[in-house]
Amino acid sequence: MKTRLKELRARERLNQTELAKRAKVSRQTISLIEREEYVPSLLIAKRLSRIFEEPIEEIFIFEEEEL
Amino acid sequence: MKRILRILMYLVLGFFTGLVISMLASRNDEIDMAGIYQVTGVVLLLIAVILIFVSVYLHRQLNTVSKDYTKYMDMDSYDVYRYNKFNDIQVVDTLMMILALVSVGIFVILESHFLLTLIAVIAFLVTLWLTITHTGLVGRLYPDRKLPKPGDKKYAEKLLAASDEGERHIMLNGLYKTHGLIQVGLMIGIILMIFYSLLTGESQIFSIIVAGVLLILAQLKYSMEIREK
Repeated sequence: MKTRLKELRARERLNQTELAKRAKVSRQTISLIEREEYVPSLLIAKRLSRIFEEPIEEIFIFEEEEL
Repeated sequence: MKRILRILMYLVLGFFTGLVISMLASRNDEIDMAGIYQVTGVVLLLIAVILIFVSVYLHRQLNTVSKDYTKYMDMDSYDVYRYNKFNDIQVVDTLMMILALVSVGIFVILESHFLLTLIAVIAFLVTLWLTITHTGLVGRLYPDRKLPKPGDKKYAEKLLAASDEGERHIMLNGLYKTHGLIQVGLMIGIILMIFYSLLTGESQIFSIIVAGVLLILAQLKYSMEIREK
């Protein structure tokens, strides 16, 4: 899974800590997701989708064979 | 932190290499195990005392930065810094406490000089006090989080409940690897103790049984926890 989280965070001029607070998670979780080491739950994906006003599939991009 | 651990590793390796070389050089059929233990106890005590200073230094460093981190770094870097620094302090605390305890054990068993035993006991008490004091750091570093205190009932459950999914993912990875390491480590330990008993004539049967029981208990506990209910 690829993610555009870092790019979107830069667009909104948010640091990891600020985004983490808004998404009600720890900064560590945001960092893990950005490094593509962790696939977040649907709940966190939805929160991030709301923050960036982007659909989930525009933030998290799956390869065809992953689906 | 990695540098400190590397230096410590070199110290321990150097000590044991020197010991083996000196044993070979003396070409003595009778190995003076009591003498070797005595030197080991002193070396471990010295390392524990050095680590006490390292622990105090790291604590002071963290305190200084956490009072006003904006002077030193940005918000994200500070979060990484406090997390890693606290982790470093915990590693140093655990190392110094175990080393001091082992040195106390060696001196008591060997009935070493009273003063040496007393210094080791005092060092152990200091490490214990520092470790307990440092656990209170979490509350100060993360004032906005409801983290359990180490003495709390059901500490593990409370800690997991207070952590989010990313943190639990990191803990799971770390704990699973640690579980594997302990299983292999204890097994190697048992084999080493068997050889040690045979080579030196000093029976390690009690330790072998204790290590075996711990190995079985750890596996049973893990299997019970993951069993489908």
